[in-house]
Amino acid sequence: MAKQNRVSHLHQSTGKLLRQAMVLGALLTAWQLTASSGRFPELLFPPLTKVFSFLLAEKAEIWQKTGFSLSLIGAGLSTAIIGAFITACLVMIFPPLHETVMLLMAVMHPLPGIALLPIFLLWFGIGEKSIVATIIFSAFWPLLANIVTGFKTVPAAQLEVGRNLGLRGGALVCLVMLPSATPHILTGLRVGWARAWQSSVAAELMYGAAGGLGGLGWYLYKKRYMMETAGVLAAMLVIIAIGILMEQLVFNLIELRTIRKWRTASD
Amino acid sequence: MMQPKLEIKAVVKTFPRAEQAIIALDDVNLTVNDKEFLTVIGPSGCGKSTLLRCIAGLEQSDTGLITLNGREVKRPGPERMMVFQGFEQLFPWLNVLGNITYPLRIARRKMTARERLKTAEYYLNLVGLPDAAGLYPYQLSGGMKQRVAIARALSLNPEVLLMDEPFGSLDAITRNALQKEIARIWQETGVTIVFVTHNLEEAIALADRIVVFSQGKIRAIVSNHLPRPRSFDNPDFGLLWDRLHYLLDAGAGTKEIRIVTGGSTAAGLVF
Repeated sequence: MAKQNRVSHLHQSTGKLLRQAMVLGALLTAWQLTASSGRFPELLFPPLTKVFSFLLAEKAEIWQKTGFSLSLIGAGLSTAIIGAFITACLVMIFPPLHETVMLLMAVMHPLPGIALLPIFLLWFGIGEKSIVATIIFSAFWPLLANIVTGFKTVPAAQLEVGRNLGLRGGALVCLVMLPSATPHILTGLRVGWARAWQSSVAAELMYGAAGGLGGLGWYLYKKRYMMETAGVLAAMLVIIAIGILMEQLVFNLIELRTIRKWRTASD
Repeated sequence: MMQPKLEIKAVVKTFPRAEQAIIALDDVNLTVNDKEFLTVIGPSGCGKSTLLRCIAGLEQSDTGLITLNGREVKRPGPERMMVFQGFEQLFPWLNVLGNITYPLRIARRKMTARERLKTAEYYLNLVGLPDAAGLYPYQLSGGMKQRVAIARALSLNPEVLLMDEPFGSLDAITRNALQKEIARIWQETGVTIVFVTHNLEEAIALADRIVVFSQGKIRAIVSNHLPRPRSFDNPDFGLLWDRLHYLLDAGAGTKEIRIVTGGSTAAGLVF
């Protein structure tokens, strides 16, 4: 039974993948045809072939920039995740904290992380620290909101079984609420990851290299400055590709192994 | 004379509400004997579930004392395992086997992995689900979920098993089957059971003694000596049903009723 499910899931996901590939293919073809029609100057609308050859030519630099961006995101996102988990646990263990944290969330959540970069630059100076701080801020609030929602929507009977077993406080949160909240936690991770990416790119676009040789945002900035439109598009393709890889290889796999296996998420 | 397992002495529990406090338990006194199957019946909102939750430690009584084997209990603990009515009491992220071994890992730290597995298999067998170990809760019917919940509770080897309308959400046929099962399981394990229900037939089919509860008070405690397995065909079943029905009606209508005890009928029912 379980095996059949897995097989049909595989069929579904390959079918979905195929459809997605077709849509993307159509989009790229449209781009290529428009570019090669000659209606727009090549400087503003470079053909895909040129974008790809650019990608190949600057392979080393793009790799390095991507690695740098990812390392900043890794540092920021992991800090945000740990912080959000600890805060969410504290909120559940000490109910009086709940109101305060909800208020903070209402105030901070709508504020784009990038809007805080100027103050972070003043506090931490130009460089990696400010960008990482921006990433942490951008990812922390949506993560916290989702984890708290997940904790609060654990069915009462499951909590009472946990209490019945003698669990209280942090142990109840970790052993019952945490696994039960997996669907919400996954949503939080997705949003947190997206926010982290956006912030890292936006921050470098606005304020220059985060440090060292800079990341993808800085690369985008430089290519726009030099009017190397193909380079701008190449960097964008890389950003898209990483997003897709992350979704397919990380989030989708976690989902298949958890909430889809348990059927705790509505498909 | 049977050993008292669980003693409830002068327990009062109120729930504060804006308009008026609700008195859920109004000076409740009750003794549950070792290896006894006790049912508590009463209309919805009469406080019978609150009584069970106080025993479990999930609610704190305002005043009074609850003792298990002579020792006061306040906090929840696995020696008083509860089985709930709803179908959401299993952990959805664990399969059936995990739903039994996980609580063992939490509450029975000294058990080895091997012992946990053996215990889980034994109780899955006992509740009639020897082949369900690998299934996840979403793959189970309501009746199967309740069976797993019972197996989970029993696997912790509780002093007393607390059941809060465990079959209340099941269809009549499944409900009937599970009533037979719990009677058999009770006889096989000898566990003390306090079973809350609002179903008269269920109370009569299962209990040694039936506590009639209404408006936060025990109205009567009726001994049930019908031979097991119990059948509706037995005319005494009907007599007992009438008696309990009368007591429930009377309990719902008036505030003050005498506790009915003593006396016996030709059928061997002791009131």
